[in-house]
Amino acid sequence: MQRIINALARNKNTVLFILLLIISLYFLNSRSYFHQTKIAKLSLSISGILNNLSSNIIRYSNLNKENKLLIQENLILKSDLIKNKNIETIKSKKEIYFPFSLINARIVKNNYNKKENFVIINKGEKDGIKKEMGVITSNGIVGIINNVSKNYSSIISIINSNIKINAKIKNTNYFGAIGWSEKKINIMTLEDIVSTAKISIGDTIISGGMSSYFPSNLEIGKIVTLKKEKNEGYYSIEVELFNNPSQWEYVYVIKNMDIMEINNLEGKN
Amino acid sequence: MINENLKIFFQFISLILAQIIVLDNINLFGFLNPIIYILFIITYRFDQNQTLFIFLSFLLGLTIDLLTQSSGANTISCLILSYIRPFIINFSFKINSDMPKAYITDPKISNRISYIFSIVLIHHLIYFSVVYFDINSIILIIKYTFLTTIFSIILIWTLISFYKS
Repeated sequence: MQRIINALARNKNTVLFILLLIISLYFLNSRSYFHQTKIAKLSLSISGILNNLSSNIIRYSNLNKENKLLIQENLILKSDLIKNKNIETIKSKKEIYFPFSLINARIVKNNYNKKENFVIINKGEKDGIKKEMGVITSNGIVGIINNVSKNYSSIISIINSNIKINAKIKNTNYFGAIGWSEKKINIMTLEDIVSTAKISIGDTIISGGMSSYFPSNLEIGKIVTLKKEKNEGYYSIEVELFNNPSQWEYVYVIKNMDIMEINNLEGKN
Repeated sequence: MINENLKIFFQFISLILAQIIVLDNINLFGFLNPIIYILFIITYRFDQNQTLFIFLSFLLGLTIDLLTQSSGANTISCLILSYIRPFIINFSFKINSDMPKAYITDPKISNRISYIFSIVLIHHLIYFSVVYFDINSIILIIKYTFLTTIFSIILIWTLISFYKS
């Protein structure tokens, strides 16, 4: 203890200088919006680099498990491909229009223990990622991009109280909005489903396709509790996600090729 | 000793007032405002308490920032300058660096010029870098730094000759 105090006393000028420098940087950050955005951008790219480093190390130790998962996913995809080919031959070459394309990315930072959660991925402006693109995993939705730097971008996670996504119940025409319940990490709430709808526990929830972020028919989760509220006319529904947000690792960013056209139309109205 | 502290206090106040009332309204060629309050950092006696000096410089920059509604560039540049001043003194005056008032008593004019020039240049460089804070405006930062440095040095050199008499 005595030694630490001695060392501090010997370098008191340096200590004072660093202390005052931190105060003045804080002062700068709080007084000027321009500097605030610059510093935020800088800190995003620095935290991106650091988190990339640590997740590289962790990823290496998980390679075996990852490989198994990938093989499984490949199997499912392959079987779908064969199925699709069969359908195509029956449908006599009628072209299906699909305006979405995918960019793959890896998560470098994923927080899931706050009220407003964000995810950082290792693709950015350089790879053609822009604000407001949707992000999915192999079976589920991750969120929407909200900030992009050169090599990294951050995503408003689906488990963030500020986000609601258009969803519907599979094989029916009941549409609703799905958002985080804020109770448990993998439990969401689905709103706006009228209580006359014929649904039951275990039904699958898929994306509704009524936004430009996500295509329709992406699987999200299944119904776990179903309650009819008195005097309200709507169900209160809790949905369990198919894959737990704490286990997300590889994600796909969805690029909507028609986004310009849709935005133009919206602007005209 | 009390006399010396009183002198520092009056110098502190008068430099701030001169900077805010007169020099910030000059707008030479539309954008040049010479900075004079660093005269405090230049003329603070070399043999006095360094810790107090760092704190006073911080206070000087902070006061200027608060009174001119700027974001914090003066604070940061004054603070860094006060911390590195001993190195500048050693670099400029070499063997004469133990004189308490070498910036007027040093016999070699080249040493005195080098001391004042390095202090003013470093201050302006940090100041404009913080104000623009963008790698793309580097040309603008260098341009403003050099032009303002010239005018500040002319002004400071004249004022220092009053200190002699």
